[in-house]
Amino acid sequence: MADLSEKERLFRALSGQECDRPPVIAPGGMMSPLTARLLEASGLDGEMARAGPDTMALATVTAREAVGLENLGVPFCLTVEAEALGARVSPGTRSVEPLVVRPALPSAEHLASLRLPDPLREPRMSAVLEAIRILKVRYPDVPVVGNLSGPVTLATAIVPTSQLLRLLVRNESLACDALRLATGTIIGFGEAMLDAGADALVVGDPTATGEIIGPATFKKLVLPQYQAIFSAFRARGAKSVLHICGDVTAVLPSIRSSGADAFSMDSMMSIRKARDQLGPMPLMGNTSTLLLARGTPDRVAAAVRRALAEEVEVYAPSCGLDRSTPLENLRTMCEAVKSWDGDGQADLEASHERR
Amino acid sequence: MEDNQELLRALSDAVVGMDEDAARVLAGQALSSGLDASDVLSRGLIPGMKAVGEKYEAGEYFVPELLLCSDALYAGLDVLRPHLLASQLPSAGRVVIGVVEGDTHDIGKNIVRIMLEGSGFEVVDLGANVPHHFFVDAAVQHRADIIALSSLMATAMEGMGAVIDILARRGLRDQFKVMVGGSPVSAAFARKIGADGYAPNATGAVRLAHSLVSSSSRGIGAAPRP
Ligand code: B12
Ligand SMILES: [Zn+2]
Repeated sequence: MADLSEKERLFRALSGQECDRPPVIAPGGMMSPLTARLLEASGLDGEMARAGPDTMALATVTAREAVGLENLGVPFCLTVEAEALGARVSPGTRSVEPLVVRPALPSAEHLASLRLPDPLREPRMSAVLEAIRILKVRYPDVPVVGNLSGPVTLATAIVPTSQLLRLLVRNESLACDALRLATGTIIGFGEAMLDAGADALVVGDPTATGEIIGPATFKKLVLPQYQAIFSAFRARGAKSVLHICGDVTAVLPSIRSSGADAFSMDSMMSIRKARDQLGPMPLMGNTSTLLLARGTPDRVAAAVRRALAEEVEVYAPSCGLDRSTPLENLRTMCEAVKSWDGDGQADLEASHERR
Repeated sequence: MEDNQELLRALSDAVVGMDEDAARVLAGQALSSGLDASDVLSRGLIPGMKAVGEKYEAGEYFVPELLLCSDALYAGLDVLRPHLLASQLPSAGRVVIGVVEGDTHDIGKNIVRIMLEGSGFEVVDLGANVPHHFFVDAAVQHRADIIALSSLMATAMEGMGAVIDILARRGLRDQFKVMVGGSPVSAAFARKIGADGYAPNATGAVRLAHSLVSSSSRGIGAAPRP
């Protein structure tokens, strides 16, 4: 099995099939591997919301080659779908990722005025699609990940966050209208990514964290959106990953029935405990991005080995990297995965002692 | 008198039950039954919001419920306001709050603001991604007692120290208490930058704010975790 290509390894891992070792990736999107140093090294100003296909391809290739990641992925933020729907976005700098600065609508009452964007015509979406095509031609054996915004996060770029949160309890049907518009946008863009050749899709939904929305609301209103999204991708034969930030203990049962192939989780979640609730679902994660930004290479290597000892199927940072993360830590992270000998007993014991 | 007790309890329940209309009507009824506006506030609305905070910390309520409870609180407060003489306003103190520059995460800050208002503080909300010197300017302008700084990002968090430096440079450090919070913030960090206190959550923030305004002497260091 040692001669698995990076693409085969990721595919097998996401399918729950045995691998020689987990792949090490940083998918892109909200879990972007771009750091200030990497942007500087590739001569980019960091205005990634204005980047064309070649710039996006250059950025992901630079990140992969500089530290040893086993994937490529675009875009590098959560603003593409939001901007396509009319939200205002700040373009980003080397040290700050692009952000939604104003939602598309002042109020959900105006939802009927929005149309589903056409990914082939909408400028930012079509730039991402073109970047995927470029990468596929140049790197046929490397998995190219298409990154999408999650439905709750996108809905809070359509109507103001506090309003959407109120509607989830006060006016379910209006909340659902906003969520469905988000879901339709995500499905359309995701399918277009698959058409362009994306090998896997990662949906990142920070605002869906169990710390903000309770489990009952999550199950009733949010879960159906995930089910629609992931069944659409599955119907196309694609592998997809769901990432939700923060403490998701309360919503693990819903995550299990989301239809995603794998779940990517934050460092505050224990892989073992999550596995109890998620059953056979492959897990991705989960070294603290704060440790990656501030820790020494030794501590990074130890944390990576702990995650591997807990048998995470796909190794990745726990969330979006801090832009100040040193390249050395990312190299250490990739190297620790690639040199994994499969024996994590010592690492687990060390981590238990510490607890 | 007993009827009044009933009314105040119902008003508190309206806040807990996210019932804006009931809060408005009951606040009006309490006034017309002869209750003092400041009593209606301190014995009806504020206990309601306190119960809401407890449900939130217990994981029974989440952010959406909390926002709706605060709508009921404000609906009741709007009815009382014209009847509260400025001098009678039972203000616990004045707080200037915001999320420091570089960070747009504002959900936690909004909750802290709501709970502070729900416990009798007057709060000036500067929003998110607030330049460091704005905090100082606003605190001076509004004669605040407390400057409350929020950040969820390790990078932006460093800016909390910058706010304190600006206070010191302008010779204003003794005029305001500074409290800090947000998930990467800790009591140790608060001490390091010379803040007056840290709290890990919104109910802790309320307790901390009360203790900061009542402690007349400065230099108490970061408050222990409640
Ligand atoms: C929701 C969310 C978002 C939403 C924000 C929506 C909004 N309007 O706020 C969106 C999607 C926009 C977003 C964007 C980003 N996010 Co974000 N996000 C989160 C998430 C999942 C939850 C935050 C939250 O609202 N929690 C619920 C509230 C109620 O809790 P709280 O904020 O902690 O507040 C409580 C206490 O801290 C305290 N408190 C708060 N403020 C104060 C102030 C005082 C004075 C006191 C006493 C107490 C106090 O009381 C509150 C109530 O009890 C966290 C993960 C997490 N676990 O924190 C990541 C997280 C904060 N995000 C993160 C990042 C990196 C980002 C991004 C850069 C992109 C990305 N890769 O995700 C962008 C850009 C942000 C920017 N530059 O501004 C990181 C920050 C890493 C770090 N520590 O440096 C986190 C920790 C995720 C992670 N694991 O890496 N995010
Ligand atoms: Zn995350």
